[in-house]
Amino acid sequence: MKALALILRYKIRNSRRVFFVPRLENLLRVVVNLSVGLLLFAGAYWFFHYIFNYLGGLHEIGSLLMDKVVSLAMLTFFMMLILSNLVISLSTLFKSKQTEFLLSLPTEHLNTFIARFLDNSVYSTWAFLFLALPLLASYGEVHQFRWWQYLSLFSLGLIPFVLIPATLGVGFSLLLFYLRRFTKPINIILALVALVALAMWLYLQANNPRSLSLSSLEDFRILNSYLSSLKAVSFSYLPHVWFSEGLKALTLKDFRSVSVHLLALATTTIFLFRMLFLLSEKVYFKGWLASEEKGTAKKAKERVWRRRLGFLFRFDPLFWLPPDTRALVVKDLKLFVREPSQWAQFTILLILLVLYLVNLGQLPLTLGGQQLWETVITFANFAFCGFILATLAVRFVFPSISMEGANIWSIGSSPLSLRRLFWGKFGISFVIFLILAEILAYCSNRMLYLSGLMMVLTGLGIFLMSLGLTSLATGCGAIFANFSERNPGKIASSSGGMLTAVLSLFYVALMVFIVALPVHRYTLHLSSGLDFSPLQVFQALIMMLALNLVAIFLPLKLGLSSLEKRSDF
Amino acid sequence: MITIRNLTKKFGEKLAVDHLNLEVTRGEFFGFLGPNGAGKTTTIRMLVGLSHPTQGEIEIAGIDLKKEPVRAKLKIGHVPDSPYLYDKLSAREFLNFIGGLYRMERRQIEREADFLLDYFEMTSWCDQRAEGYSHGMRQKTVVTAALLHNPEVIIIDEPLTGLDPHSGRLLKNILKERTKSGTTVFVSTHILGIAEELSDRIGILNQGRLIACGTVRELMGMAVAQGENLEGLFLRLTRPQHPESVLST
Repeated sequence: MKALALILRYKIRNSRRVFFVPRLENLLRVVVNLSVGLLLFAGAYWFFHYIFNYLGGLHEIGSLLMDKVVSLAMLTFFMMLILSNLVISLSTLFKSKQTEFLLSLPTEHLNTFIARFLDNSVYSTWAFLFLALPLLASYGEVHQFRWWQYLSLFSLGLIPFVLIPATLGVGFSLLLFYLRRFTKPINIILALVALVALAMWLYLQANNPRSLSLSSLEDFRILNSYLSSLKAVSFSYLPHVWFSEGLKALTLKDFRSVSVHLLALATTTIFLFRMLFLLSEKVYFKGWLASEEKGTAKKAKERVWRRRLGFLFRFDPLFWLPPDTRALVVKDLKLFVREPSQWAQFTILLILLVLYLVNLGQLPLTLGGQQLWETVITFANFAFCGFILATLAVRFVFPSISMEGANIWSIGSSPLSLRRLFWGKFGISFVIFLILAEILAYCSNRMLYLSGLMMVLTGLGIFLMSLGLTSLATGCGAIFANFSERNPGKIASSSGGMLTAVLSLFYVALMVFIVALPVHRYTLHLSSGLDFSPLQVFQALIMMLALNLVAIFLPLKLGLSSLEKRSDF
Repeated sequence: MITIRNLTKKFGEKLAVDHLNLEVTRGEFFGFLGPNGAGKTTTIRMLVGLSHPTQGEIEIAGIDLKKEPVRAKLKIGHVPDSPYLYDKLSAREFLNFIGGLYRMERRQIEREADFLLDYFEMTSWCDQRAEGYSHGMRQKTVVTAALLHNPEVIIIDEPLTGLDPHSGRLLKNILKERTKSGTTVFVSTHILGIAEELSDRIGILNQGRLIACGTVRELMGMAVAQGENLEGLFLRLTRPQHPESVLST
């Protein structure tokens, strides 16, 4: 314990200095970060407050819907926290110089594990708090919570709720590296991803979206019975249910129910902690050793096959690129494929997207003549695609320049100019991004049975959004490039990454608003005979053009000039 | 002081260290030579408990490394080939941290740290954060941390990385000095000059196998017999297609 306390003391001292450095530039950075954080917090608070207030106004089912929103949000958070803990632990508990250093010291491996587990929990959780805290604060505000209710909620509810997925995610990663001794990591990760996908599919099947007919939305009785049917499948053994039930009980001041649910959270946390520490004592160091000891010799069988199929590998699909750009593309693709923390997260996101598409296909969207709903759902889908693209851009495009890392000197001293590097990164990201985005848009539009014109319009919107988001992420990635950090997840969640995320989401919101407004007015014109002038479409086009000119050219210009001015490599 | 018995390490099908047997005695300076990829760093990682042998045993100061890793590590001072430092801690703070983990008293840490920082001419830098250090200063900080608790065994992977000639000389002197007071020094390097100048005994590793081991005088004798110097002997023994020429003594 003494050694652990010492490790933690010095780690905290080190971390404190990362954030609080009494120099003007650092103070400015703290002020900017705080302002962005507060803005994000305030925006999320306002958004949730608006929704809860609206739901609160629906007397018959308002509170029921509110609780359902919280429960679904907490379930989503719970799943995302498990995934982020799992993915980030690959580079904190295992592939890390700091971990290797701590393991070389004369202290029990458990101390290293606990110190790095705490790091991992902080890295994986802080972004979640930016959404969860305003959600819960606005829920409390709508229900006129008093201080002790907030205190119980955050200390007895939220802390265990965050720690449970942390233990589960890290537990999975311990097993993953332990099993790595027996099979390739890709097999384990694919099995895990398939398991998660299956679990989510089963869950969504159990919720049965087909039973919700949009044409009956206004019928409260049907909706009520639908919500009751959802209740039946809200497994009462899941932490998000305990949390939301505890929250509901806190609102009703039903202390018995509060104690039962919060105790369930607390005891589960303690139990999982105990299990995790036991597991770590058995497998952590063995798993760490396995992560360090990669087989370097290729199996003879693999070599034979490679030789036989060699002609397939000789064809170079990138022959049309200049040699230096081709080298950059090949290097980036290889590094991406060989970095489990990169492709594992990408695969998980893709699987979630496929699940989204599958469930979109199951929605009863014939919507017999309901133009308004069709428009709403079309633009909700457009916004969702934008949100996904923004997430992907911040997570994968933003870190791409920083990921050159300590090796930036090899490019800096090579005939490949930084300008070429910058445009190369932008080009690769944009092409991959555009293909993915258009596939997503096409599939989701097909699932929604959109007309040809709407398909073309959203396809065009997605093209512009891909260009805008890639420019934003590449430009900001160059402005906030951090060549000393090797973990792409940490680069994406840095202050620069946060700012890029906010700007990207703002850009998506503006794009959706600009495109949706004239379409909405046109729909109202068709259904209710409200005035509509083609001038409104022209205005929207001008606004969209202006927005994209700013979003595309400004970050690229600033990013490029910032990169060319850098001298820290 | 260091006993290595039948040490073997396999990575998949590749044999990185092949049945290595070695005894390094108290107060001995042992130079561990070998070309790139010979298995030196793998051996060192096993010696400090950062990698488990596929087969074989290691004892440090009579303590079985596998059975009692914490006790064995307390006897070791280790300088890895690419060391880690907390960037936001100063050298002095880092030494306080390391001293604490090696269960040293506060006063003892201060005394040893003052001496070593002064010795390596780091006093004027020791309260600045490591983020501003040059490569050489980082190496000196890590070496200082390895020497801080007066370990019975010092294990260094490529000791002179990043050090200027003056600092290199300081390091060589203190290591030699420590061997006189009974400390065992195990240095892995591919720079022949260091091994020749400092080592009591030299072991040459090639493709995971100890192909030669003896005092500098013995190895020089072998080299001269073939009309070559130590470098010539090293190059001949570590040639890729060299026949079975194990010269263990």
